[in-house]
Amino acid sequence: MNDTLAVEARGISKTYGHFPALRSIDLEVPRGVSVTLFGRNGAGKTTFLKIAATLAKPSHGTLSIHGFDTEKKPEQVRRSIGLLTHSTYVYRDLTPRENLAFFSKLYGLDLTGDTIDGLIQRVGLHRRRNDAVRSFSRGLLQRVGLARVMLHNPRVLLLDEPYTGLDANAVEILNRMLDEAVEEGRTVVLTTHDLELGLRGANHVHIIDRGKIVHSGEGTDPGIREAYRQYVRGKDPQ
Amino acid sequence: MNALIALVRKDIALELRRKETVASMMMFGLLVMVIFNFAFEPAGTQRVLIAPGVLWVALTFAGILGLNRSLAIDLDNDSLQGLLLAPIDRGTLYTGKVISNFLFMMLSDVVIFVFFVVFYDLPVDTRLLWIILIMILGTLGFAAVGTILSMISSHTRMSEVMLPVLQIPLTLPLILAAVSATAAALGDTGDGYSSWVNLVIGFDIIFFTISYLVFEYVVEE
Repeated sequence: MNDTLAVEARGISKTYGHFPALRSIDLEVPRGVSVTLFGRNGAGKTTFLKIAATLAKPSHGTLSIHGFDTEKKPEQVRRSIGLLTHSTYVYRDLTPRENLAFFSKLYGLDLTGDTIDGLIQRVGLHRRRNDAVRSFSRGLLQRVGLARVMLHNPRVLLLDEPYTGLDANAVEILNRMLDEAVEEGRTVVLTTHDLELGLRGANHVHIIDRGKIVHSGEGTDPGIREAYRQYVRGKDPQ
Repeated sequence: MNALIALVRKDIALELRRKETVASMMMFGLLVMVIFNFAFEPAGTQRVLIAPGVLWVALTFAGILGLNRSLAIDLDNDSLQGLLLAPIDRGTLYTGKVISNFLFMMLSDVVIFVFFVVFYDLPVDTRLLWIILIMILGTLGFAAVGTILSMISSHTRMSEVMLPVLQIPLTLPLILAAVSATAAALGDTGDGYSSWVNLVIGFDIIFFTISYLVFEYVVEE
């Protein structure tokens, strides 16, 4: 166990039936940095985040979040992470306030209405805080999801294609919150197809192809763009 | 405990807003009662022979309908994944859902039971209390098994068909014991009632415990 690492993956493999989604991934993410995982559809990015979020178990290998093994200490891992995917996991028939109040109780938090309203304000939903989430557009829904993720002040943010379907305004809010998160010392692990959004603010970049990390580098590494063209923009695997 | 209460309150809040689960269970249960009432036109001693079976057919099928509806709320927008990300053990999630399902089923059971008493012209005496007791215990066991089976069947393509296919055979001992206990309660002497009730209690304990322990593996991807 390394005290400086937020995410530490050792030989992570995951197989669905006969299909290998991840093949012996080794990955170290230092604390307080932003890391982007690029990869085409089916490359294994989502599977990796699901394992990190304790939603799936690896077939082989170990993964730790802030020193907590995802299989041995899943509840501590869940306290440390916030996962946002294109599904926001909120209840459509509840309002943003009701959703956040409910999820805060699951995290053992006793948040006041003002605290919840403050969070809703941060994601720009103050006017819609008492409307059922069902009436929200995709972008607004994602903001509720973002508020849910930030609810318990997670040390590691896991974001799976968080920009999908967002308008420019929502992208700006998301970027601002991610920048603030890194400034506050949180770790961000983000997956995306979008090269520019992925490189923005990324300290480290990894490219996953067919379940393996095929390229790693600094966010400013010029070789990333070439590797992106080769592995993400290249021909779909047969 | 706070998480458990929050889970149940969330289900109740959603049901109050959607008004789908309990209403559909009540309607379905009542339809079953009405159909059986006209199909058999029971009278005299025949009535006592048929009534327990009719009651439990209504409760069973209405319950299955409710279990499917109840889980659908958590599958909408993948909200279940949000619950699984919370730092609470999977057993608490299971227990919360069992309690919610039990409460919804009991609400429906009460209405079905009132019509049952009216249709079968049952005398209002202490025997009805014994039937209510077996309804509570039977519904609890049915909800305990149904909650985990609805989760399993939700991973299949024909989940709404798969649930009764799994649920009815597995709860057959419970339903048979509940029907027999109801019949014993309706009889003049009440012979055998306690042994059937004990069987139902045993079923409840065993299946709740097993389901609580294996729920983690059911929801795992």
